[in-house]
Amino acid sequence: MKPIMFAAAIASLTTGCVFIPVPHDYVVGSRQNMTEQSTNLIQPGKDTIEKLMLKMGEPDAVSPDERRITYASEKSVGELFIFGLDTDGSDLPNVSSYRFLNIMLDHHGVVTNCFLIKQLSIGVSPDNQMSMFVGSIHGEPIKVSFEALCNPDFNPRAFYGHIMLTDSTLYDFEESQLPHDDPVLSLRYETIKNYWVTNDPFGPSLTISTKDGHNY
Amino acid sequence: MKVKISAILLLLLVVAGCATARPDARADLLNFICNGQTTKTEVLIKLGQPSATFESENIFTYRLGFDAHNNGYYVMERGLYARVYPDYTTWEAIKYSLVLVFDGHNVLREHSLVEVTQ
Repeated sequence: MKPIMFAAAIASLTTGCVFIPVPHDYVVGSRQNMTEQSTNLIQPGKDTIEKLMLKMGEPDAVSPDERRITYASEKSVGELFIFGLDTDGSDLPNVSSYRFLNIMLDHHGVVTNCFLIKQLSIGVSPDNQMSMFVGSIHGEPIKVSFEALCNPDFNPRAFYGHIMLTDSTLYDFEESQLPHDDPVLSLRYETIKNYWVTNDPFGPSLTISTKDGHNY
Repeated sequence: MKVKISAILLLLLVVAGCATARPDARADLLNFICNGQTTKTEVLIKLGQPSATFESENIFTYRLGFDAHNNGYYVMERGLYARVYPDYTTWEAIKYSLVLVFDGHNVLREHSLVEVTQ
């Protein structure tokens, strides 16, 4: 069993629900040429944007300056049976596994870096998705991923997002962002002056204070 | 015996209904494509507007469906992917991504037909 599936199974056992694995099939509408073999064909430092597209085809997302390209796929991996939920089984929350292959190019259109982010997403309802990410960002493995309400500089415009921690950096992606976008917040640990956790009525709250005077 | 014949006829009707051939699918749709010869204008005339362009329109991509009945290709438009990530487009009913790379004189330099779905 893959670690992400094992984590989902353990999480489901501890939260009053049962994870039911299903054969890992691509969902209708997903591209299907993101196998290990095809992604291994990409050669950072050698491949150009032309070579990349000749190998992989039209990408799923491209930044306006065409220097970040993403290929994405979605597989159905399971369903969630929640104890006490009145359902005949036809509308069980589905569990999907997304793969985002993010490719960075320099100003000459040469691939400089590519990294894969996997997202396990539980669709409780069309408007309510719970997700966790595994993979790497800028070559560093994602150690921890969790969802949080973010409030940079105590701005009234708080947003729901995904916090991801690597060995060197804390990243924060707004929920509506696709994982190929630049994070709204990227904090290297050496820039952090202080941090503390408090228990708010809505749950634990993490506050981070940086050396240049910002609060998150 | 009558029941068997009826069942077979019904099965044939169902199979025929499920497997309607695309009238716009053509086996020779891509035959005109030739590196070093085909121009961008020819491509636009024969295949229409690309699904996407890159590198100041030096790269064209087309989304192609494939009809197994007549081994024919047909050009598909981009469809919206209305699942978790609404900005993404769907690859439903699309078999290939045709990538065309043009040189500075708008002549085809390289191309590939990438299978994006099984």
